[in-house]
Amino acid sequence: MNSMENKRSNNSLLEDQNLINSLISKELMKEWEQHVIACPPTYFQSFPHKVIERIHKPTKTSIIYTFGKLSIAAVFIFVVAGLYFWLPKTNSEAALNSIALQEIPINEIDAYVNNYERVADADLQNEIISIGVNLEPTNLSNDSSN
Amino acid sequence: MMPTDHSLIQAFQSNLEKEAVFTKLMHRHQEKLYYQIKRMGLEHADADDVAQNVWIKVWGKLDGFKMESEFSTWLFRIGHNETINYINKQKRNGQNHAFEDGLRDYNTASNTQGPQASQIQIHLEQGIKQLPEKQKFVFMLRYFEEMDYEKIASITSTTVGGAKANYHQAVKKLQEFISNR
Repeated sequence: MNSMENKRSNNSLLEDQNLINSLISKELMKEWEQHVIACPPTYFQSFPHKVIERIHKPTKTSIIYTFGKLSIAAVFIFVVAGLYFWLPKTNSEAALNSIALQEIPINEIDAYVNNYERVADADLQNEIISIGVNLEPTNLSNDSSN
Repeated sequence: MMPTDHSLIQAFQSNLEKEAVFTKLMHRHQEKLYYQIKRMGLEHADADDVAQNVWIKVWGKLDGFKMESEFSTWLFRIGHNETINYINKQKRNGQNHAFEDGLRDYNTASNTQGPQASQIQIHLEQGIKQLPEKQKFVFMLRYFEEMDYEKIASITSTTVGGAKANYHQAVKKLQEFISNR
Protein backbone atom coordinates (compact mmCIF):
# COMPACT_ATOMS: atom_id res chain seq x y z
CA MET A 1 0.00 0.00 0.00
CA ASN A 2 2.76 2.37 1.05
CA SER A 3 4.90 1.59 -1.96
CA MET A 4 1.89 2.25 -4.21
CA GLU A 5 1.43 5.64 -2.62
CA ASN A 6 5.12 6.44 -2.94
CA LYS A 7 5.07 5.44 -6.59
CA ARG A 8 2.05 7.67 -7.24
CA SER A 9 3.66 10.55 -5.39
CA ASN A 10 6.93 10.11 -7.34
CA ASN A 11 5.02 10.05 -10.60
CA SER A 12 3.25 13.24 -9.70
CA LEU A 13 6.58 14.86 -8.78
CA LEU A 14 8.05 13.83 -12.13
CA GLU A 15 5.01 15.20 -13.93
CA ASP A 16 5.40 18.49 -12.10
CA GLN A 17 9.11 18.70 -12.91
CA ASN A 18 8.48 17.80 -16.55
CA LEU A 19 6.22 20.82 -16.92
CA ILE A 20 9.36 22.94 -16.66
CA ASN A 21 11.77 20.46 -18.21
CA SER A 22 9.83 20.58 -21.45
CA LEU A 23 11.14 24.15 -21.76
CA ILE A 24 14.45 23.97 -19.92
CA SER A 25 16.38 20.76 -19.63
CA LYS A 26 16.97 19.18 -16.24
CA GLU A 27 20.71 19.74 -16.66
CA LEU A 28 20.29 23.46 -17.28
CA MET A 29 17.98 23.76 -14.29
CA LYS A 30 20.56 21.96 -12.16
CA GLU A 31 23.32 24.20 -13.43
CA TRP A 32 21.29 27.31 -12.73
CA GLU A 33 20.64 26.06 -9.20
CA GLN A 34 24.33 25.37 -8.61
CA HIS A 35 25.03 28.92 -9.65
CA VAL A 36 22.42 30.37 -7.33
CA ILE A 37 23.26 28.35 -4.21
CA ALA A 38 27.03 28.84 -4.42
CA CYS A 39 28.64 29.94 -1.14
CA PRO A 40 32.17 30.31 0.31
CA PRO A 41 33.92 26.93 0.64
CA THR A 42 34.14 26.62 4.44
CA TYR A 43 30.86 28.35 5.14
CA PHE A 44 29.01 25.34 6.55
CA GLN A 45 31.83 24.34 8.87
CA SER A 46 31.87 27.71 10.59
CA PHE A 47 28.15 28.41 10.52
CA PRO A 48 27.04 26.47 13.68
CA HIS A 49 29.82 28.13 15.67
CA LYS A 50 28.64 31.58 14.54
CA VAL A 51 25.09 30.82 15.57
CA ILE A 52 26.08 29.48 19.01
CA GLU A 53 28.23 32.58 19.53
CA ARG A 54 25.30 34.83 18.67
CA ILE A 55 23.00 32.90 21.00
CA HIS A 56 25.34 33.53 23.94
CA LYS A 57 26.19 37.10 23.06
CA PRO A 58 23.99 39.62 24.87
CA THR A 59 22.40 41.68 22.15
CA LYS A 60 23.23 45.37 22.18
CA THR A 61 20.05 46.15 20.35
CA SER A 62 17.92 44.79 23.18
CA ILE A 63 19.64 47.14 25.66
CA ILE A 64 19.05 50.05 23.31
CA TYR A 65 15.48 48.92 22.86
CA THR A 66 14.89 48.72 26.63
CA PHE A 67 16.57 52.07 27.15
CA GLY A 68 14.40 53.56 24.43
CA LYS A 69 11.24 52.23 26.06
CA LEU A 70 12.30 53.59 29.46
CA SER A 71 13.06 57.02 28.06
CA ILE A 72 9.67 57.16 26.30
CA ALA A 73 7.96 56.26 29.61
CA ALA A 74 9.99 58.91 31.46
CA VAL A 75 9.09 61.61 28.92
CA PHE A 76 5.42 60.65 29.15
CA ILE A 77 5.41 60.87 32.96
CA PHE A 78 7.28 64.18 32.80
CA VAL A 79 4.74 65.65 30.38
CA VAL A 80 1.74 64.47 32.44
CA ALA A 81 3.26 65.75 35.69
CA GLY A 82 4.15 69.03 34.01
CA LEU A 83 0.61 69.50 32.78
CA TYR A 84 -0.75 68.76 36.25
CA PHE A 85 1.50 71.18 38.12
CA TRP A 86 1.92 74.01 35.66
CA LEU A 87 -1.43 74.38 34.01
CA PRO A 88 -3.35 77.33 35.65
CA LYS A 89 -5.86 75.87 38.08
CA THR A 90 -7.99 79.01 38.00
CA ASN A 91 -9.27 77.92 34.66
CA SER A 92 -10.97 74.88 36.11
CA GLU A 93 -12.33 76.84 39.10
CA ALA A 94 -13.73 79.50 36.80
CA ALA A 95 -15.31 76.79 34.73
CA LEU A 96 -16.99 75.35 37.84
CA ASN A 97 -18.36 78.75 38.89
CA SER A 98 -19.66 79.56 35.50
CA ILE A 99 -22.04 76.58 35.35
CA ALA A 100 -25.55 77.95 34.90
CA LEU A 101 -28.43 76.55 37.00
CA GLN A 102 -30.29 75.42 33.90
CA GLU A 103 -27.27 73.29 32.95
CA ILE A 104 -27.64 71.14 36.08
CA PRO A 105 -29.82 68.10 35.37
CA ILE A 106 -33.20 67.97 37.17
CA ASN A 107 -32.55 64.61 38.81
CA GLU A 108 -29.33 65.95 40.31
CA ILE A 109 -31.26 68.88 41.83
CA ASP A 110 -33.99 66.49 43.11
CA ALA A 111 -31.42 64.23 44.69
CA TYR A 112 -29.77 67.21 46.38
CA VAL A 113 -33.10 68.56 47.75
CA ASN A 114 -34.28 65.13 48.97
CA ASN A 115 -31.02 64.60 50.70
CA TYR A 116 -31.24 67.99 52.38
CA GLU A 117 -34.84 67.32 53.47
CA ARG A 118 -33.85 64.03 55.06
CA VAL A 119 -31.11 65.76 57.04
CA ALA A 120 -33.55 68.50 58.09
CA ASP A 121 -36.12 65.88 59.24
CA ALA A 122 -33.52 64.10 61.30
CA ASP A 123 -32.45 67.39 62.90
CA LEU A 124 -36.09 68.21 63.77
CA GLN A 125 -36.60 64.77 65.29
CA ASN A 126 -33.53 65.24 67.49
CA GLU A 127 -34.77 68.63 68.56
CA ILE A 128 -38.18 67.20 69.58
CA ILE A 129 -36.57 64.39 71.57
CA SER A 130 -34.24 66.80 73.40
CA ILE A 131 -37.12 69.12 74.38
CA GLY A 132 -39.27 66.16 75.46
CA VAL A 133 -42.49 67.21 73.78
CA ASN A 134 -44.87 64.31 73.17
CA LEU A 135 -46.58 64.63 69.85
CA GLU A 136 -48.22 61.16 69.84
CA PRO A 137 -51.61 61.05 68.04
CA THR A 138 -53.52 59.95 71.23
CA ASN A 139 -52.61 63.13 73.06
CA LEU A 140 -53.50 65.18 70.07
CA SER A 141 -56.98 63.64 69.89
CA ASN A 142 -57.58 64.28 73.61
CA ASP A 143 -56.58 67.86 73.18
CA SER A 144 -58.94 68.38 70.36
CA SER A 145 -61.92 66.79 72.20
CA ASN A 146 -61.36 69.22 75.06
CA MET B 1 22.87 4.27 14.57
CA MET B 2 22.22 7.95 13.97
CA PRO B 3 19.88 9.54 16.47
CA THR B 4 16.66 10.82 14.95
CA ASP B 5 15.76 14.50 14.99
CA HIS B 6 13.10 13.83 17.59
CA SER B 7 15.50 12.04 19.93
CA LEU B 8 17.95 14.95 19.61
CA ILE B 9 15.15 17.38 20.41
CA GLN B 10 14.13 15.31 23.43
CA ALA B 11 17.71 15.53 24.67
CA PHE B 12 17.66 19.29 24.08
CA GLN B 13 14.39 19.63 25.96
CA SER B 14 15.80 17.64 28.90
CA ASN B 15 18.72 20.08 29.07
CA LEU B 16 21.23 17.38 28.13
CA GLU B 17 24.17 19.01 26.38
CA LYS B 18 21.96 21.55 24.68
CA GLU B 19 24.67 23.12 22.57
CA ALA B 20 26.07 19.84 21.31
CA VAL B 21 22.63 18.57 20.38
CA PHE B 22 21.70 21.84 18.70
CA THR B 23 24.94 21.85 16.74
CA LYS B 24 24.12 18.34 15.49
CA LEU B 25 20.71 19.53 14.33
CA MET B 26 22.34 22.46 12.57
CA HIS B 27 24.90 20.26 10.82
CA ARG B 28 22.09 18.03 9.66
CA HIS B 29 19.78 20.72 8.26
CA GLN B 30 21.78 23.89 7.64
CA GLU B 31 22.57 23.27 3.99
CA LYS B 32 19.03 22.62 2.80
CA LEU B 33 17.76 25.65 4.69
CA TYR B 34 20.51 27.90 3.34
CA TYR B 35 19.98 26.68 -0.23
CA GLN B 36 16.27 27.35 -0.04
CA ILE B 37 16.88 30.89 1.26
CA LYS B 38 19.48 31.45 -1.46
CA ARG B 39 17.15 30.19 -4.20
CA MET B 40 14.80 33.01 -3.24
CA GLY B 41 17.36 35.35 -4.75
CA LEU B 42 19.30 36.62 -1.74
CA GLU B 43 23.00 37.43 -1.81
CA HIS B 44 25.24 35.28 0.38
CA ALA B 45 25.54 37.88 3.17
CA ASP B 46 21.76 38.33 3.31
CA ALA B 47 21.07 34.60 3.14
CA ASP B 48 23.59 34.07 5.94
CA ASP B 49 21.84 36.69 8.04
CA VAL B 50 18.43 35.13 7.49
CA ALA B 51 19.74 31.62 8.17
CA GLN B 52 21.33 32.76 11.45
CA ASN B 53 18.09 34.45 12.51
CA VAL B 54 16.17 31.28 11.75
CA TRP B 55 18.45 29.12 13.89
CA ILE B 56 18.39 31.62 16.74
CA LYS B 57 14.58 31.48 16.64
CA VAL B 58 14.75 27.70 16.61
CA TRP B 59 16.98 27.76 19.71
CA GLY B 60 14.45 29.96 21.48
CA LYS B 61 11.43 27.88 20.53
CA LEU B 62 12.79 24.35 20.54
CA ASP B 63 11.82 23.73 24.18
CA GLY B 64 8.20 24.21 23.14
CA PHE B 65 8.39 21.99 20.03
CA LYS B 66 5.70 19.33 20.43
CA MET B 67 6.97 16.79 17.89
CA GLU B 68 3.66 16.93 16.06
CA SER B 69 5.43 17.48 12.76
CA GLU B 70 8.85 16.69 11.36
CA PHE B 71 11.57 18.99 12.62
CA SER B 72 12.54 19.88 9.04
CA THR B 73 8.97 21.01 8.28
CA TRP B 74 8.97 23.23 11.34
CA LEU B 75 12.44 24.58 10.50
CA PHE B 76 11.44 25.40 6.93
CA ARG B 77 8.25 27.09 8.17
CA ILE B 78 10.36 29.43 10.30
CA GLY B 79 12.72 29.80 7.33
CA HIS B 80 9.82 30.66 5.04
CA ASN B 81 8.51 33.37 7.38
CA GLU B 82 11.94 34.86 8.00
CA THR B 83 12.83 34.92 4.30
CA ILE B 84 9.56 36.48 3.18
CA ASN B 85 9.77 39.08 5.97
CA TYR B 86 13.36 39.88 5.04
CA ILE B 87 12.54 40.30 1.35
CA ASN B 88 9.50 42.46 2.12
CA LYS B 89 11.60 44.61 4.44
CA GLN B 90 14.22 45.05 1.72
CA LYS B 91 11.52 46.02 -0.75
CA ARG B 92 10.11 48.57 1.72
CA ASN B 93 13.59 50.05 2.15
CA GLY B 94 14.00 50.22 -1.60
CA GLN B 95 16.83 47.71 -1.62
CA ASN B 96 17.09 45.11 -4.29
CA HIS B 97 18.03 41.54 -3.77
CA ALA B 98 20.43 39.62 -5.93
CA PHE B 99 18.05 38.75 -8.76
CA GLU B 100 17.32 42.44 -9.22
CA ASP B 101 20.88 43.26 -10.02
CA GLY B 102 20.35 41.68 -13.29
CA LEU B 103 21.98 38.69 -14.00
CA ARG B 104 24.63 36.47 -12.81
CA ASP B 105 27.53 35.87 -15.09
CA TYR B 106 26.64 32.68 -16.85
CA ASN B 107 29.46 32.90 -19.31
CA THR B 108 31.85 31.49 -16.76
CA ALA B 109 33.66 28.22 -16.79
CA SER B 110 30.86 26.62 -14.80
CA ASN B 111 28.56 26.82 -17.75
CA THR B 112 29.38 23.87 -19.91
CA GLN B 113 26.57 24.12 -22.42
CA GLY B 114 27.44 27.14 -24.51
CA PRO B 115 26.10 30.68 -24.91
CA GLN B 116 22.60 29.57 -25.86
CA ALA B 117 22.26 27.72 -22.57
CA SER B 118 23.43 30.84 -20.74
CA GLN B 119 20.75 32.83 -22.49
CA ILE B 120 18.08 30.39 -21.37
CA GLN B 121 19.36 30.56 -17.82
CA ILE B 122 19.24 34.34 -17.91
CA HIS B 123 15.62 34.13 -19.03
CA LEU B 124 14.91 31.57 -16.34
CA GLU B 125 16.36 33.86 -13.71
CA GLN B 126 14.37 36.82 -15.03
CA GLY B 127 11.25 34.68 -15.07
CA ILE B 128 11.81 33.50 -11.51
CA LYS B 129 12.48 37.07 -10.42
CA GLN B 130 9.02 38.21 -11.49
CA LEU B 131 7.21 35.46 -9.55
CA PRO B 132 5.40 36.43 -6.34
CA GLU B 133 7.45 35.35 -3.32
CA LYS B 134 5.08 32.60 -2.21
CA GLN B 135 4.89 31.03 -5.66
CA LYS B 136 8.67 31.22 -5.89
CA PHE B 137 9.08 29.52 -2.50
CA VAL B 138 6.63 26.74 -3.39
CA PHE B 139 8.23 26.25 -6.81
CA MET B 140 11.71 25.85 -5.30
CA LEU B 141 10.52 23.41 -2.64
CA ARG B 142 8.70 21.27 -5.17
CA TYR B 143 11.17 21.33 -8.04
CA PHE B 144 14.52 21.32 -6.24
CA GLU B 145 13.76 19.88 -2.80
CA GLU B 146 11.23 17.44 -4.30
CA MET B 147 8.89 17.84 -1.35
CA ASP B 148 5.34 16.53 -1.37
CA TYR B 149 2.50 19.01 -1.34
CA GLU B 150 1.40 18.12 2.22
CA LYS B 151 4.76 19.24 3.55
CA ILE B 152 4.88 22.32 1.32
CA ALA B 153 1.39 23.28 2.48
CA SER B 154 2.45 22.95 6.11
CA ILE B 155 5.59 25.03 5.54
CA THR B 156 3.86 27.84 3.71
CA SER B 157 0.74 27.78 5.93
CA THR B 158 -1.63 26.98 3.11
CA THR B 159 -3.76 24.04 1.97
CA VAL B 160 -2.56 21.22 -0.26
CA GLY B 161 -4.76 22.65 -3.02
CA GLY B 162 -3.27 26.09 -2.43
CA ALA B 163 0.28 24.73 -2.67
CA LYS B 164 -0.55 22.89 -5.92
CA ALA B 165 -2.14 26.03 -7.34
CA ASN B 166 0.94 28.06 -6.39
CA TYR B 167 3.26 25.60 -8.15
CA HIS B 168 1.17 25.46 -11.30
CA GLN B 169 0.78 29.24 -11.41
CA ALA B 170 4.55 29.60 -11.10
CA VAL B 171 5.14 27.08 -13.89
CA LYS B 172 2.59 28.80 -16.13
CA LYS B 173 4.21 32.19 -15.61
CA LEU B 174 7.68 30.79 -16.27
CA GLN B 175 6.48 29.02 -19.42
CA GLU B 176 4.88 32.24 -20.69
CA PHE B 177 7.93 34.30 -19.81
CA ILE B 178 10.47 31.99 -21.40
CA SER B 179 8.45 31.24 -24.55
CA ASN B 180 7.91 34.98 -25.16
CA ARG B 181 11.65 35.69 -25.22
